[in-house]
Amino acid sequence: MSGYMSGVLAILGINIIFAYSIYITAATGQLNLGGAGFQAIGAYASAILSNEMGFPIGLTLIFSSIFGGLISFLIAFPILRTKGVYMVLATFAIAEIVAGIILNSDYLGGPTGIVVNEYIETELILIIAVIIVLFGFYLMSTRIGLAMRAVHDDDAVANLMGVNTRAIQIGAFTLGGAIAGLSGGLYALYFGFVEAQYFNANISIFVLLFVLIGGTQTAWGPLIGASFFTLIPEALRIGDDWRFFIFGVIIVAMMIVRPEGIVTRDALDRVWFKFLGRTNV
Amino acid sequence: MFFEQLLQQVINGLMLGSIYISVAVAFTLTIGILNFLNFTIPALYMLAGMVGWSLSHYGLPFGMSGPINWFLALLIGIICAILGSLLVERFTYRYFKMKHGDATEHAIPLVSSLGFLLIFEYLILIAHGSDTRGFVTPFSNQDWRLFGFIISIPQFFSLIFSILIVAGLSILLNRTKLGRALRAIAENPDVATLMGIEVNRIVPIVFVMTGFLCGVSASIFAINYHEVSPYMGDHVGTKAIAAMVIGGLGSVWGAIAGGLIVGLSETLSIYFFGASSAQITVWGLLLILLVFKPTGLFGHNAIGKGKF
Amino acid sequence: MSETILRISNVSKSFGGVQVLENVTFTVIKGNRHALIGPNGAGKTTLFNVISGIHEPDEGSVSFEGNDLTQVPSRKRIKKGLSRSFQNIRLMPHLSVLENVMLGQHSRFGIFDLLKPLYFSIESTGKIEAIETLRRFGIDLYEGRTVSSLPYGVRKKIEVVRALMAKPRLLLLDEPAAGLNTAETDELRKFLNEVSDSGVTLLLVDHDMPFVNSLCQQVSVMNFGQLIYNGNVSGLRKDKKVLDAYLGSDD
Repeated sequence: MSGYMSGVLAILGINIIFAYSIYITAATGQLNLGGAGFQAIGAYASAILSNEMGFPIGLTLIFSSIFGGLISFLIAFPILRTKGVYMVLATFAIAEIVAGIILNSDYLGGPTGIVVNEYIETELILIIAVIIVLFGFYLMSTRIGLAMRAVHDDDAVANLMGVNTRAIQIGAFTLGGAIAGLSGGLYALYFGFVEAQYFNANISIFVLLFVLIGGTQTAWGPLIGASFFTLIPEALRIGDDWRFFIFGVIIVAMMIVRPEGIVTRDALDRVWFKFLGRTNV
Repeated sequence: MFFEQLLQQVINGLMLGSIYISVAVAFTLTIGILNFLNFTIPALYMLAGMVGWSLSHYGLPFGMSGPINWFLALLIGIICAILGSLLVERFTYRYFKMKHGDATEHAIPLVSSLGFLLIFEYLILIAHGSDTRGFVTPFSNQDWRLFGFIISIPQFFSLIFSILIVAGLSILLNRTKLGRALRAIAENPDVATLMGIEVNRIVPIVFVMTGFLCGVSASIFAINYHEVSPYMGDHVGTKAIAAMVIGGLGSVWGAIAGGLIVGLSETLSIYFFGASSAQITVWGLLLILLVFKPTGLFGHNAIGKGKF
Repeated sequence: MSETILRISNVSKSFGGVQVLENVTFTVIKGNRHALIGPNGAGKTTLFNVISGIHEPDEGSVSFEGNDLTQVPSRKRIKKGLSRSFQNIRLMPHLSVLENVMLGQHSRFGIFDLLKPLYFSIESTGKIEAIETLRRFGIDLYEGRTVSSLPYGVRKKIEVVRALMAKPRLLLLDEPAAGLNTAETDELRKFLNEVSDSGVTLLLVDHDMPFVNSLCQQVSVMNFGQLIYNGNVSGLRKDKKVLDAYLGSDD
């Protein structure tokens, strides 16, 4: 595999994992516009643990997830008291604060960033991506997944049906944070360098857009969304700025024509039914 | 000595706040009346600034004229912001129909506005590149010295101007027929239609106001800080959102208060703790507010709950 | 001796100064089919909400099978045996018929069952039961479609099945016949009779008087937040207060 191809697949893998982290919370009805903050936590945890403490790669990645999950968990309690636009803004604020803390901390490298000594190959990223994708499908196929989607559609009634709405929301947020942390850890180890300026609002916005455009109704959404927006610009050899311009046009068009996203529940059922002759459940 | 320096910083902070005021009002109006967090606003701001600069530097496109007078250039910039805003209305808000009212559906206009943010931002980046450019006006560097404090004249007048524009807007909202229609739409768009209000004709007016406010703010920035860049929207956008929340979503006077508070906290934070601390201070303040008192200073409960 | 399954004692509730429920007291006997009727705005749905735990009564209490429900959060009441349907249909729009119905079973499962994948086994927990009940009620599975595209009458019936999936001992139905045509109402009555025969107590709100008359034995009538009649369905026609409430008094 050429170096270029390898690089694209690594980015694809990281984007897919990141997308699933946002998808898991979005499927429950919460929009996280601060994904970059949790990715940064994982990335910096990874950088520090492998540089300073000489952790082996596996352990580093586990801790990246744990840090991402832990901080999400702590934040979930106050954040999930907010709703709608307030929650979007609160998650946005979290990411800005994380970036701000990193910029101000000399230990964390400040504006200069940290060079990461350990290195991983694309193959590892892809393997982990496959595991996460399978996990995503598995989760949504269980009664917990059903409960999550119920909370998304009508949390008041879900509650009356016996679903522990609060636990589901906090759980989803925490799990999302852990997976975002994992994607950050992989980023740090692959690219060998982390800086706070990278984990900015644009990153948070893009990953949320991958998920919303891919579709939040099924576990295919984040896979399709992340793949579409990572691979198509590469395939068409579109330069950086034009890529985002076209991205913008596609988003506006999608919201007019197909706001539920590329993969919807109905569309999936029709495909499933046609090929397998039976339903999804 | 310390006290004087502190007061100078306070003055600087208030002046900085004046930039944030108009943009914050644009955000707060859109969310108050249309329940729509319009992320295109920073791009409209940038559009006005960059178009204004481009006209004053190069003149009209395709060599139709030489460099244009700064005032006219900024005015055309404002008009471009308004046109851009109307584009957003046409292709974003007008298509939106709520079917189920769940969380991801509410996000649709927000997502569209993000799309337009990308469109405008990258269009300018492609056409112009990423350089910051200087903007020259006849007022550069004129200060008053008052009791040993430096007050920049253009900044002072900008602050007054911002407040006047927003006060005018407030009067429009509270005392005119148009204002009543807007407030009716804010309460309940369906009932407003039943009452005979032509929602489809009035909603674009909110977008016109949005474009206007962004354009005015960008002009003030260009005049006072003598520069424009394709990233100027990003710098102001997040601060203006913070200002909106602090003042309370939907409250115009709240946006003024919020803008000044953000300007103040930013300046004081930089003065005491260094340049990169401003981010934490402003956003930390914002987060605490969102969790404990989301209605901010003057907002009220109905706005934004479960809505975008 | 007939056992009381639900006891409403002196329940009062006001919202923002408006007294919606005033000193309401009645009991529901286990195994009965009990109707709660009254003009619009009488407070029937509010009472249902108090029983479900959505609202806390300002005064009075609700007890179910002899246990006071006051401390029990609304989420836990379905597990205690108390399930309900809603006046405005509240099905999950993005879920299929089967999924909506299976959601009703959620409270019956522990964490290990909740983590089992549903999709890859045909006979997953509860799925057979859900399909069977839908079939008994004459509801097609509408495979490949989400609930939002289905006709009103069908969605109304699905909500009842969902409430049944929790295997409740008391089923609260808020206007289950509203909007149904004669044939559908007949089907509903047959179905509810079967449900009642299997041991489930029914408490239902409805405006369709023939439906109520043909299905229920007991009835409680509310007007302006107060209980004005509590007794047999047969005594309803003769009660002066009820007639006044519905028809208006001449003096």
